[in-house]
Amino acid sequence: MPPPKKAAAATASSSTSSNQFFAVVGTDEARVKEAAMRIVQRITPPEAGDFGNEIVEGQADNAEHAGQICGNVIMALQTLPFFGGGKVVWLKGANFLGDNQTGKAAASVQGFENILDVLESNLPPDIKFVLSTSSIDKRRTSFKRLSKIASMEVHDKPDTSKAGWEEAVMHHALNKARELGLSFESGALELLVQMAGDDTRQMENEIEKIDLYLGERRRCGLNTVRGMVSMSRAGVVWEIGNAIGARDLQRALELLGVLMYQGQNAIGILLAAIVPKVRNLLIVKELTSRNKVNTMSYNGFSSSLEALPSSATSHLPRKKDGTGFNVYPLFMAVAEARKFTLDELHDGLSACLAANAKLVTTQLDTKVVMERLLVGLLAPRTRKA
Amino acid sequence: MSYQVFARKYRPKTFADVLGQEHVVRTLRNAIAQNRLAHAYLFVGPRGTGKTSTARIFAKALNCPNGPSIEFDPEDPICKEIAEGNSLDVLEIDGASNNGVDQVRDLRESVKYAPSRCRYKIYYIDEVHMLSTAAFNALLKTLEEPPPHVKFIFATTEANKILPTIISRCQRFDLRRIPLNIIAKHLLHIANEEGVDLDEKAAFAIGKGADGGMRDAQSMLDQLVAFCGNKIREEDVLEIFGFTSMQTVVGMVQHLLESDTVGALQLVHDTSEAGKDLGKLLSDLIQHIRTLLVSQADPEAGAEDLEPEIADRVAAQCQMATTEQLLRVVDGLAEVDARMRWATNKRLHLELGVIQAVQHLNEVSLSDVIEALESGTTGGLPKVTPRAAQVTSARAATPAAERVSVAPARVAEPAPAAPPVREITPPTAPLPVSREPERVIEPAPAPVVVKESVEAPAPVVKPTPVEASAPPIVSAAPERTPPPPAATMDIDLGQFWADFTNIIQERRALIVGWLRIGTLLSISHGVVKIGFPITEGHARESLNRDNQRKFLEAVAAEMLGMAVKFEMVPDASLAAPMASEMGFDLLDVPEPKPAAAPEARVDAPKAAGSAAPATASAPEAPAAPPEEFQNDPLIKAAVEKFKLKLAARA
Repeated sequence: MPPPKKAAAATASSSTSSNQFFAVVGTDEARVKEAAMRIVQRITPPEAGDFGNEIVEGQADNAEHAGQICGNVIMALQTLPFFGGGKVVWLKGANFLGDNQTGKAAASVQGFENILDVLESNLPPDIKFVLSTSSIDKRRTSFKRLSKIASMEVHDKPDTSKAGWEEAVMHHALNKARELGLSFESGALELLVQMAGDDTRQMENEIEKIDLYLGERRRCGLNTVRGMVSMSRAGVVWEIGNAIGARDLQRALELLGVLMYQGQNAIGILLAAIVPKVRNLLIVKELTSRNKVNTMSYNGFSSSLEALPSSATSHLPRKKDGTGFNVYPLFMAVAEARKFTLDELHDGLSACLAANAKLVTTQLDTKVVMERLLVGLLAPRTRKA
Repeated sequence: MSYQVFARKYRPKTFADVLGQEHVVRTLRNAIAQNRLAHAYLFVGPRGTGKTSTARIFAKALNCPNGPSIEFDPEDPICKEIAEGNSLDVLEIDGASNNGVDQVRDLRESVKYAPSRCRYKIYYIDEVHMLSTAAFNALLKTLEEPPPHVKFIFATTEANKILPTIISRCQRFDLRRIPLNIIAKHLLHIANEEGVDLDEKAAFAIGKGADGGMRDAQSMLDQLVAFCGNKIREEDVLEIFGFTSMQTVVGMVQHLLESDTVGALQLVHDTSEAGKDLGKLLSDLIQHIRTLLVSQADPEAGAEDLEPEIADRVAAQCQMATTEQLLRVVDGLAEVDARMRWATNKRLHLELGVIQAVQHLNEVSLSDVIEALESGTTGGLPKVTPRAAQVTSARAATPAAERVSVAPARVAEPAPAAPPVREITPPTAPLPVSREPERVIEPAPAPVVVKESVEAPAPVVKPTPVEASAPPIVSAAPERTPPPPAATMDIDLGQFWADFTNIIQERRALIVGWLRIGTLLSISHGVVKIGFPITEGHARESLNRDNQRKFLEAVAAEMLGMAVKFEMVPDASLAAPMASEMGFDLLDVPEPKPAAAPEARVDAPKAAGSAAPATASAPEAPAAPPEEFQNDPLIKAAVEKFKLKLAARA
């Protein structure tokens, strides 16, 4: 496993330290809601009781509704608490601040600007405001104004296109599993994370489901995860890659069937799930057969790659920012590549190319083409005696 | 009570009745038992896998008296109301027709109200993927935090069309396709209950057609009962639904694997005449070969979707060809499939595809050759070996008489050169030579040769009646069949054949494997007749190519001292060789025989035909590639193509 990245691990940050206004934003809806709830509970005056909280639901059906919601928030901010003392106004789950039709409408933009005007107009210190939203357009001036006056918490989903995103999600999943007293077999948690994807709410649901399925048992194996967890699109892609790496033809065909049944494009499956895996296997096989590479540990492998001459590593996949090799998928492929010969992988990549050509230029049944590719790739070459 | 279709009459009523979805049922039962109910559930799966049934059973378990309880009485009035879709507190909504935001707003309004009789108010929205995006968004808030008395159950066949924000708020269950054997068993159970005599094979045929959907299978059974009455056989299923019998598909593949082109074409003919869809036959064929490929990789895989008898045959068939061969066949058939879509004459394309498939199975790919070369003495072309072994064993089990009886059916095979055709001669030119007794020399191994009267294995030197009356062969080409010297009469065919193959081994090693598959039948009128087992068409055809045949004729002429012509004929009476005999034994250690220099052997026949056996001997393992070997056009081409170097082999 690569070391967790700071950006992936730490999703929360605070730009200002206002104690009166709070904004919890981010694409991870479940964590945004959880964090906002925690803040509201913390800042609600203990003596205020139910009257100290005024929650305004932020789900707007349209721009006009968004304008009404903003009006309600302003009224709430400007209304003194019924029994005196403090008060918390929570604009909960606002969906009209993002880059969408409702969010771009004048009523929504103006409405939120009006809220900010009120917030900036010297409200009494015992009137507090919490905003939680999963979509906010950070390019707008309103966002910049908000970030100046409010404590900002950001809970974004990890960027699955970057290496190491699994770490944060895995940590979250492990915590949830611990709460339920569950433990995982080797590889099962990783598989769960890959199959469920980056949505923490979805992840929690899946762990809950596994817990119910297991009943008295407290140990979750790979088969349980495979059988129970509903695969996200990214999860299927990952799992096909795993099946190819494990040379598990039956599993690969099963997953292909799932994707084709869901109406996924065959070329998409080929280019997203199969070709990268075969290419990584081939690269690693070639690399380890020509050079002395430490394959015992991730760090050792990474160092070995760095130590190789540039002529041997110029073709290796690199990170998107160009800072170094994308070591993680290569390291994962090291053990898997042992299941293939170099010739098989060469043929496999050629077969991918041929399949691509067939999919694009012929009218062959796409499922047959894909299945044939997988069989040719994964079936052991039988030489009967 | 009015008639109810089987799909409704036998709809599962309790969790125990749900088939093939153990992972879902177990989780729901545990959730009820532990009182850990989610507020929204999403059932995803193909049609007929139990989404609605599971939802109703779950609703019954939640709302039954003394519930939530796993053990509820399905005959309870509340449960019956739910099962019939009449319950006021279990609202079944068709998402396809109530897909607008207005309907969802109405729903949002109604969730506030408490249930009338039951514990929970359950909203079951079928085909939920049909809801518009606005409707989904309108539902989000309610779905996230519904009142405690409300439960949502959604069902869909296309989960990818549902917003991720909706999916993440639900506990999602993926229902799987129901395995074939479970469907078949359930159909037999229904038939038993209904007093219908349903054949097991028919049940499997229905299950296969249902493609994992129980409702489809039950509906098909309903139709069959209406059409056939109380006795349903597999043929009825195939006839009514136009399916291709699994036996037919397996039989077709068996023909292909045995290189029985005639049998395969006959099957295509029969299927076409029966009015079956040839496209379906082809796709079933491809599917079956895929099953063979998967079985080669993992024998246990896919067994649950095959009836036991078919599973056994799959296990046997997947041993009869290599992966490469099967992949080539799939490629060819897939191309035929693409062509057939637009063709008016589908049968022609399918027939061509079948013929090609047989050829593919008999092909020796260049990689096979290279691998065989590399594998040295242990090598052998693997492609024929399994098939041969299979065919041999199959033939060994049948008496000789039965084998002979098979032969007439094979006569129809479009062989490139049938022996009788070659022996038709012009009626003119009755030369005196023709009246001489014809030499028909019995082969030493004495195989049981089934021949027409033209080539009857008559006593040596005695002309057959037909040949006596027919114009002689030599009359057509007298220059090629000069009167043989008297010494050649003494040729021992067995010895001649051994010497001949040894020389070929030395001069053109690549073809000796094919030659050894054949059997020398006779040398008559300057015609050397070599028989090949029916299954070994590839060897016969390979040797029958002009360049190879001329080469063989030249070598034989050298040995016999006269011009000869080679005929390669299929012979049904010949058993396929054993696996070891069919190998690509280029580098096999030659048989230990009295050694003689190759040159001497080549020259000896020129001197006298009788001298040939004496000179014949096995060549020693070459210390370096012999010059003839290096000069072989095939080897030259291979060396040039692959930039090879010929190395000596120790």
